[in-house]
Amino acid sequence: MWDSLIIKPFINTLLLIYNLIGKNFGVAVIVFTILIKAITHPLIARQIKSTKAMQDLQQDEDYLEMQKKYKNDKDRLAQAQMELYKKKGIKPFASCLPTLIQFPIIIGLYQSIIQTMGNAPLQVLTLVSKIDLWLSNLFSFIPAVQNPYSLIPLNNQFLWMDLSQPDRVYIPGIPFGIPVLAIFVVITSFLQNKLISPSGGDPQANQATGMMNIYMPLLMGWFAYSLSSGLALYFAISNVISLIQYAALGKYKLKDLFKKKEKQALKKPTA
Amino acid sequence: MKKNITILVLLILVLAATITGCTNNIGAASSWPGFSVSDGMAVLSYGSQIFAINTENGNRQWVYPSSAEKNVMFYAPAEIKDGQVLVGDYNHTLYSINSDNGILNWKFEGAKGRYVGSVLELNGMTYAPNADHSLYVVDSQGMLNWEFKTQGPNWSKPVADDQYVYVASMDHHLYALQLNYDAATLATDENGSKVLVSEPVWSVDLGTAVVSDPLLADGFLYVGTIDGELFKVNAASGAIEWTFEGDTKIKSIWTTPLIVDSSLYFGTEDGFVYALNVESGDTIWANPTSTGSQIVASGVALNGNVGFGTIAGNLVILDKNQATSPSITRDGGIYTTPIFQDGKLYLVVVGGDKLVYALDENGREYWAFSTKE
Repeated sequence: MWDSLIIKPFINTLLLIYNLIGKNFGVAVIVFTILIKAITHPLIARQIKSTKAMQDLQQDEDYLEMQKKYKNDKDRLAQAQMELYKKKGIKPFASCLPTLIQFPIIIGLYQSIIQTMGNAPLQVLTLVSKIDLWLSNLFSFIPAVQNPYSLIPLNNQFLWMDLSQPDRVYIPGIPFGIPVLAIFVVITSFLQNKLISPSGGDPQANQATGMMNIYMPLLMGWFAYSLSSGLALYFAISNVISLIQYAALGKYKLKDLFKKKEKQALKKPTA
Repeated sequence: MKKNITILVLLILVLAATITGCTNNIGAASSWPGFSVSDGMAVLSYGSQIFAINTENGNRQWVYPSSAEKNVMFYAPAEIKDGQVLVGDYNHTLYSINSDNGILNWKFEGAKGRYVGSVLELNGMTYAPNADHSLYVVDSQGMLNWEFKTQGPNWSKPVADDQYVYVASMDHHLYALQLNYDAATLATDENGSKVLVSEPVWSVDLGTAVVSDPLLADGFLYVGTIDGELFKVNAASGAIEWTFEGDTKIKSIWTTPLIVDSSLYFGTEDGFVYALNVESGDTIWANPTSTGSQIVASGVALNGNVGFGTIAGNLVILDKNQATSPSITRDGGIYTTPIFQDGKLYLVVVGGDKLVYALDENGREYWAFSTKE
């Protein structure tokens, strides 16, 4: 079921893109990531809108007053918050739903890239068993589209990387390889988390958010460091596209990244 | 709150370890065991070591290396010949090991990629296909004599007659090369050594990659491709005699064809066994036999019958008239080509209790072997 609905279509689309754009798997991963991001854009847009509404609410006078008033009565506070959400037309879980819907897509994409990059017998066997001819037949009117079986083995070289291996750049005089892509993933994940994480309100929630803003980029960086660079490339491109999406839809400005959010939250209501 | 954060951090660490552990290539099985039998000895290449097994009783004779080494992985079947075991690993090293005691004779470390397929030893020369797009030919001391570069990885064991050696490559081509080259005729490689063969004797484009070993019989080569086509090629000229595609699209061919009593049998990745007339390439059966599971291992001749192992763990036995005998079944999957020699049928089964089974042709067990002591 999972294979038929997610993995096979993803793998065959990846192969078709690879077929169409010059048989370079790195470029295929980039184009495929852009394609998936474009398809899931309405979900992202809704998520950003909901997150922004929640962030704005936390700077609302009614909200801040309520926090002060019921600071010793958690049940009453929760009840009052729900009433305020209703009054303002905010659905607090609307920001979670798009994430939940995207989750299988992200996992499927991750698995598809791993399976497509395989260069050992078991991996190639798995890849071959998932090839369907219907998609390439559909595009057979394009002269560049070949039989997908003829694409194997795929060209995994992209820039300085073998996409099936972890990324390391060796510089003369430095005794170890530098994981350039992993460093890029850490930086872009950090920026992305900083932009999307809600600010203000509950200081404990802020503390947890702050921890997430540190640990999540490190986790993503660890994945990019230890897994094949094809996946690291996917993480990197995905982060860059997300940053563009947030900037375009959430009206974030670069200076927001360098502001202290707690201070921001406290200053605004009194302004 | 602190407790929640600690749990969160721990969860992240567990997730990181799980994902990287599940997907990292190093250490994970990326192929199936290689297995070969000769002169009363079986050699199993699986994971970080190769195991020499006494075929009489299934006892372990020796293990190489004696303790597992990081990054050394063996999956290619070994070539057992003239008192040595020749086998390549996934870390670009080809080993010659004394077959009596498991002591290393020599190592060839000139390749840059994995040894996936078996090497061929002929008249003191070792023909070693490598995934780095080269066929290396080394002498009996492990010194490189010559090298032939292809355009793709080479996973298939070469075959040879008294004139040429034949190499099937994942670059879609089948090549014929001379058995030996005079150094004066060789080109210079990037290190300035005169070792490169410039031109093959002939080559033929098969359209897609070849991952299985070709069969050489009576002056013809029989080879299947990843696209599910089977070719008969004239070994002297490289001319394609016939191509078999099947009435319905064959998914892909990972098996070496097998000729028994003038009929050619091969299994397919989508689980079918085909029988063809060797001369014409016409099908003998109205429909192929379905085994219900993927076939990756080549067939084995069993006293006039043929047996095909499936990844569901069944050895399906057929005769020329498509009549089936009861299958021999073990828990696990059969990816490695079964061998029938001196009255013993050797099955290598991955994912079950034991790894190697020595059976009679009815499936009764002589012995079973596990790599765990």
